[in-house]
Amino acid sequence: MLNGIRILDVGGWGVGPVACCLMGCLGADVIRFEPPKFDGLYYVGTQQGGVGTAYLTGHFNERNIIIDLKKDEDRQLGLKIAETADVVVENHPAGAMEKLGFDYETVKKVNPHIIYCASSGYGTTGPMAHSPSNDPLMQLASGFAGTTGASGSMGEMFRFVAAVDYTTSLNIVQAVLLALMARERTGEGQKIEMSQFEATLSMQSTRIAEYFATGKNPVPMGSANPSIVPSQAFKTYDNKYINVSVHREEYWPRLCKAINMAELENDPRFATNADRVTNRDALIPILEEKIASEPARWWIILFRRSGVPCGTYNTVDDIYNDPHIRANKMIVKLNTAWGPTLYTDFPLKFSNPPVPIKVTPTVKPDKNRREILAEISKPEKKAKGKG
Amino acid sequence: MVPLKDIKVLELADEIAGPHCGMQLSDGGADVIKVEPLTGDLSRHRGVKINGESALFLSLNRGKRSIALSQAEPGGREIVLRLAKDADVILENYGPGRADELGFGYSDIAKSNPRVVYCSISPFGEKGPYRDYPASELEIQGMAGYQWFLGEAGEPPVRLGPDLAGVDTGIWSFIGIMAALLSRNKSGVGQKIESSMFMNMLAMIVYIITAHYNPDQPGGFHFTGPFDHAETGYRTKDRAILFGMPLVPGKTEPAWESFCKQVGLAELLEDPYFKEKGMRMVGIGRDAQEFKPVIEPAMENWTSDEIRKIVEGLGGYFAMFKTYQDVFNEPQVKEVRMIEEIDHPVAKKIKVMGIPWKLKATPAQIKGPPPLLGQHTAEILREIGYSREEITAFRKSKIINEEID
Repeated sequence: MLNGIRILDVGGWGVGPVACCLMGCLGADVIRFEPPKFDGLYYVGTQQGGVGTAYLTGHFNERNIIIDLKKDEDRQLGLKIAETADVVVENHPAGAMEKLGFDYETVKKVNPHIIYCASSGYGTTGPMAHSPSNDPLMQLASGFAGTTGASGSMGEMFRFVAAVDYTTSLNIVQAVLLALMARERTGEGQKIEMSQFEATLSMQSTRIAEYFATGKNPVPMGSANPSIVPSQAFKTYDNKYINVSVHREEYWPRLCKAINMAELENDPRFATNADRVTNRDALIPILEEKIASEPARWWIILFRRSGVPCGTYNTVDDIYNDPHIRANKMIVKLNTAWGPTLYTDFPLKFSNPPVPIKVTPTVKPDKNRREILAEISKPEKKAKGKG
Repeated sequence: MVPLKDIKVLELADEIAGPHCGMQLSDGGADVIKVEPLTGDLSRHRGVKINGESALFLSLNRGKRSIALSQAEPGGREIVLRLAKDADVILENYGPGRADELGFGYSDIAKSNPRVVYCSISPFGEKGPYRDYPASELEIQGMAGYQWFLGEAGEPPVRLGPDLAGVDTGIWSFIGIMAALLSRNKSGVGQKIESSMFMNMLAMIVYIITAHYNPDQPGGFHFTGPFDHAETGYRTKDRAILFGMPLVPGKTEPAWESFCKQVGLAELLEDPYFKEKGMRMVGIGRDAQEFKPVIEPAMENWTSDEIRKIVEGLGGYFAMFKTYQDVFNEPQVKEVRMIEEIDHPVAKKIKVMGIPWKLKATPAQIKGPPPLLGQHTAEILREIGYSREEITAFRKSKIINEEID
C-alpha cells in the first residue's frame, strides 16, 4: 500500500504520532524523531515497565532516532534524513516548527517534493491560533462535550479515551494520502495545514446540521437519540442495561413481535419513526416496563434471534473475552522492550495487500539510530515524485 | 487540479458512514454517483427538515449526483452493473453477503472491472459470530466499551452525542480506499476492503486495551472506568466549566490563594488538606471530583466568563462546555473556513461544515449542493449509453421515478 513511502514523525503527544503509526500499518517506513528527554506520552497516564502505555500505543510501527531539533547539528542531521523522506508530519503549536528551523519552507529547500503536514490546535492565524489544545480541552471547545451527557446536564467529557485526538490523527492520514495521490499526478509535493479544531468540527457534522437547521443547540439526552425512537438504553430485570435501536423501519415490527406486543405495531402513534419521535413520551415507558421484566441475557438472545439491533455495555474485560473480537484476532499480544502487551490490530481488512497489514511493537527511543544513519549515508538517494 | 480528478465513485450506501466517506471523496475531487432506492437514502426521512429537506441528509451528501432506481427489478440491477463497469471505487453498506445476493458483490464486479476498489461497510465485519447482527451507532459505542468512560456508576448509560462510530467509520473507509487506490497505481489491480464500525471503534480505544493489560500501578488517572463520576465540570450561572491553576513551581500556591479569595472560598484555605490538594487539581479526575461539592456551590454565584477572567488573570487555564451556538460565535470558525454556504434548489441557502484538510497546492473543494432524489437519473443513464427510449421504458416499468420538474 504505502510501501516505499518514508514518513518522518516529528510530532508530539498523540495526534501526529498516531497518524504515522497508522500509515506504518499500511506499509510506510516511519522514522520517529524522538526528543532527547522523550515525548510527553512516555511519562503520563498508566505505566507499564516504566513507560507510559500511551507511548506504547502512540509509537508502534516506527523506527526511532533521538534528534534534538534545538541543536543545530541534530537539525542538520534531521534535514539530511528529510532529504530521503516523502512525508513529514508534525502537530506542534502554530509557529513552533518555524522557530526550530524545521518548517515546510526549510525542509522544501533540501527536498522540493516533500509533503509536509502541519496539524495545529486551532489553525495558524486568528484569535485562537495560540490557544492550548488537547483532547479534553477540544472536547469542550468544539461542542463535542456539550452534546454529550445525562439529560439536563450542561455536557459531559468523554474520559481517558482521546477520541478527538484519534479523529484528528485519522484526518491527518486522509490528508497525507490525498497529497500522495496528487503527487503521483503532478509530481509535486505540498504543504497541508489542518487542525484539531477543524477535524473535531468536521466529525460532528451530523449534529451540527441540527443546529444549523433550527438555530437550537442539541442538548445532552443520556443514551437517547433526537431523531430515532427507540434508540436508547433500557434497564433489565437484573439491574443491567442493554440498548435497542430501531434505526430502520423493518426493525419495528420485529421488535414488537419479539416483546410479544403486536398491539404496538398496529398503533398509529408508533407507525413510523417520525411518529415514534413525536410520541416518544408515550412509547418509551411502555418499552421500559416490558424490558424491565426479564434479564439482560434473555433480551440479547431474543433480540439477536429476531434481528433487532441490540447491544450490551461492555467493559475492557468483556472486550478481551469477546468471541467476535477473538474470531477476528482483533487484539494482538506483542513483545515490546517493556514486556508483552496488547495492541488492537489494524481494523480495515484488505483482500490484496502487497504486504500483510500488521502492527509491530513500539521500540525503545533511539533504537534504530545506527541503521538510519547508515541508510542516509549511502550515495544513491530515493527518486522523488513522478518518474 | 484536485487530488481525485477523474476518479469515479459509486455510492451504494445510506445513513452516515458510507455517505460521509462518499462526501469526502467528492470534496477530494471524485465524481460520486449516489445510487438510491426509489424512496431515497434513509437519512432523507430522518430528523429535522429545512423546507422539507432533511438536515442530516444535507450534511452528508454534498457534491454528489443522485440516481434513484429499483434494485428489486432486474432492469435496475442491470443499470447498477453497467455503472460499476468503469467505476474506480464502489462503496456499499448493504450488509455482509447482501450485495453478492443482488449480483454486485466484489467478485461479480471484479470479473469485468479488476481495477475496482470495493469497500464494504458493515456494523461488525464479514467474519465472526456477530457478522449478521444489525446495529446502529448506539450499539457499537456500547459494545466497543465507550460507555465505560461516560456517565455515573449505577446511573443509566450515556452515549457520545456526536455520531463518532458512523462518521469515523466513514473516515476509516476513506483511508482504506485511498490506500487501495495508491496501491492500484503501482499494481494495476483493485481490491476489496472491509470496514466495520465495531473494529474501527475498537482500534480507537487501543490505549485502553493496552493500559489495562499489565500496568505497573492501579492508579495513573487513566486506570478507572465505571467507578468514576461523570466529568461534567462545575456548574456556573450559565455554562459548566473546568479550570486549573498554573502548574509552575512557585506560582501554583499564590494563584490558588488568590482564586479562593476572589470567588468566595477563602475560608477553605484554612484547611491544609483542601489547600494542598485543591491547588493541584487539573479540573478533571478524582481530585476534581472529590472537591466538586465544595467548589461547585461557589461557582454557581458566577458566570463562566467571570471565572474565566479570574483564572486567566492568574495564569491558570480555563475551559467551558460550549454549545454549538458558543462555538459558531467564535471568529476562529470563519478563520479556518469551517462553515461553507451552498445554494440548494429546495432548502435554499444552507450551511455545511467546511473541509478539515487544507492542501495548499491541490485544495479539496465542495463541488456542489446535495442532490435531490434522482436528480441526475436521466443524465447518468445517458452517460452510460441508455437511449431516450430505454429511459422512457424504465420510467414506465417503475424502475426509475418520473422526471423531476
